[in-house]
Amino acid sequence: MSDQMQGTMPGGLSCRDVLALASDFHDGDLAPAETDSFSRHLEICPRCDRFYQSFERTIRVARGAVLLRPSPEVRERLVDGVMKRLSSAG
Amino acid sequence: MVPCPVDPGLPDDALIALVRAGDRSAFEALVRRHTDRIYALGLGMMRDPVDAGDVVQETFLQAWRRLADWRGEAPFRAWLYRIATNACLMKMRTRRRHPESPLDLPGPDETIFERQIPDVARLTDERLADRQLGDIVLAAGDALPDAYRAVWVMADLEQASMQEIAAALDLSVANVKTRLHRARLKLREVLIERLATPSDEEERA
Repeated sequence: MSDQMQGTMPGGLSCRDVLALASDFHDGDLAPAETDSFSRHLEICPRCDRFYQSFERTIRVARGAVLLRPSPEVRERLVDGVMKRLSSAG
Repeated sequence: MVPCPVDPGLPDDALIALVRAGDRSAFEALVRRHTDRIYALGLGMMRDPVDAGDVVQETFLQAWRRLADWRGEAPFRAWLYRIATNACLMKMRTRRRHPESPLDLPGPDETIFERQIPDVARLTDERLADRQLGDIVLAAGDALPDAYRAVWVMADLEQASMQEIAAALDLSVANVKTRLHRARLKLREVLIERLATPSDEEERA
């Protein structure tokens, strides 16, 4: 992505458009024609392509971060804790 | 532990009907069913297992007290998620750890475009395993203001639907999408700052 690229509007989108629409593209929220334009821009503009690769990886890694579930022991402790507090609260 | 006398496979609304009829073990079945997700939300938001446990307790105690308010218009799980989100935001506000200023989106006069676009640093470097990068991503989430972090945790970590997030945060779906996009751009930027390699720096120079 570069200044001269912004002038040529690869795919009919500017590089700023790519930046603004990256989530919509990723999440499938663009209309088919916009999706095609976005893809064409990435094919032609190496900097936007690189930007999008890292943007996509940021999302992918977050989605793969399966670090958040409690262990079975922690889960039991939490459930017991809630039920005990309910009992003491009446 | 004494096993629940109710059938834990009953749907939420059937369990709630039993709770309303005075069966406390049905509430335990609900707690057991939804604890993991509430804990995950708490841990993603607070990044502290003790705080996440507090969020679980607070959420279910509030749900118990306010069960009469749930009328079945929205799924119970979404209603619970909303309580949990508010509990997290309240806790985060008390802690005042995060900046409250909104994040930028690229506009004609804004510098974010310049920060994002000429940046040639890669996150395609596979030397870091995704799991290891996952830890770094979670830590990078600290750079987000609370309201953006909440959206990001729910959308990208927990993969809740846009509708569910909008309901939990009392926002429009469009607003959720805007916040999510800004959060992702910010995270990418933070990750690049933290992970840039010498070759990236050379390429950038």
